[in-house]
Amino acid sequence: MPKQPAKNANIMVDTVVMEDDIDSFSLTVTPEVPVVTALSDAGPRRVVGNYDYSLDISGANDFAAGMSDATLYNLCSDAAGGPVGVDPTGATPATASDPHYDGTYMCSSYKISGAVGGRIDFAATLVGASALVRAVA
Amino acid sequence: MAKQPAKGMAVYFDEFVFSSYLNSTDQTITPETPVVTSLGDAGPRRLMANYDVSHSDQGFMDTLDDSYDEQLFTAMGEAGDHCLSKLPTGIAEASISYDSLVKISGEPRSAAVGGAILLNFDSQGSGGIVRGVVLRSGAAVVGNGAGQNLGATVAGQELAVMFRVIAVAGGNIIMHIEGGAADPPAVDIAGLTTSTMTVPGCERVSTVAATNAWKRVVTAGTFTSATILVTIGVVMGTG
Repeated sequence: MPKQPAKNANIMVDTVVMEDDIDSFSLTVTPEVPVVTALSDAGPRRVVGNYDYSLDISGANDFAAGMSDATLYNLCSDAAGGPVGVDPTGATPATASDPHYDGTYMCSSYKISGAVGGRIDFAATLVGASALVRAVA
Repeated sequence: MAKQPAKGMAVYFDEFVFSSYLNSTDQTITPETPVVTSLGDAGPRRLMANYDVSHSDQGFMDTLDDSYDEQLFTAMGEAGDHCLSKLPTGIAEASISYDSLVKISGEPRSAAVGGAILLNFDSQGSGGIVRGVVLRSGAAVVGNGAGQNLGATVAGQELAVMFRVIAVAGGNIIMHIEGGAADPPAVDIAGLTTSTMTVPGCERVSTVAATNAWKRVVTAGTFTSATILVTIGVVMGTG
């Protein structure tokens, strides 16, 4: 599997296909790596604990029923969070080279903006609320 | 419905139309998502709690009497909440409307050589936000507006209506909402009514009683002409 253009990526939020609205995304996984360096060590030592993750998405907003605006707005008040899938290759995970990153997310921030000469944008930060799964075939 | 140019976005602050002064507008909803991850968890765990709302709007100063500059300056000194609505696709009936109650947290006026004088304002949420729709807009006439199927609400859900009288002449105007299971909806919904308004203004009212799917605006009064914008929806976080 070669490197991927961003164009291939698919992102699904609460079962709604979002890659037709998103023009930028960033999935960040942040492991806990507490420092356990001792006096006698040369250089740092760390251990790995749990992790957190978040997904930043932005693009042109679509206000039709069931599209990006309604989906993100509803997620912002969903106490259970919602399933979000990030599929970098856009392909069914038929092989180990087509990972799908699946997790339950909550909405941490949802912004609508517009300016003269531009489009109406959205930018949302979704934060993890479950284990993150990298699913492959 | 497709993606939208910013050009069509309408912004209303109280009874004032701010779209003609602004060149940029932002609205941000920020839910609280406290982390409750325990030692035994794999990956994060969070709770969904309350939320905050903030707005940032940038525009050009207009010092005309009773215009943008005076409207914002007056508003900043008022203790009550202000109605702020942002309608991404315009004000046609059934268009999406985000309705906030806000207090102004800043309104810098700035100028530099070669540029226009700017008047921006920031505002912070002071009540639940609504993602609703326009139930009626434009020139008002005495009588019943068209019904819209907005979906039923259950007891406990807060259905909020933002009544705006943008202009009124010749007398007073009173509006209320009627609901029903079918079109035309003709049963008065208690609490969803304005006061007797003789000057432009904005009133937000709500009910937590169950309502039927269809709603309409009924307009009465002695006015000879009036321009209104009525938006309706369920307050976020109430079910």
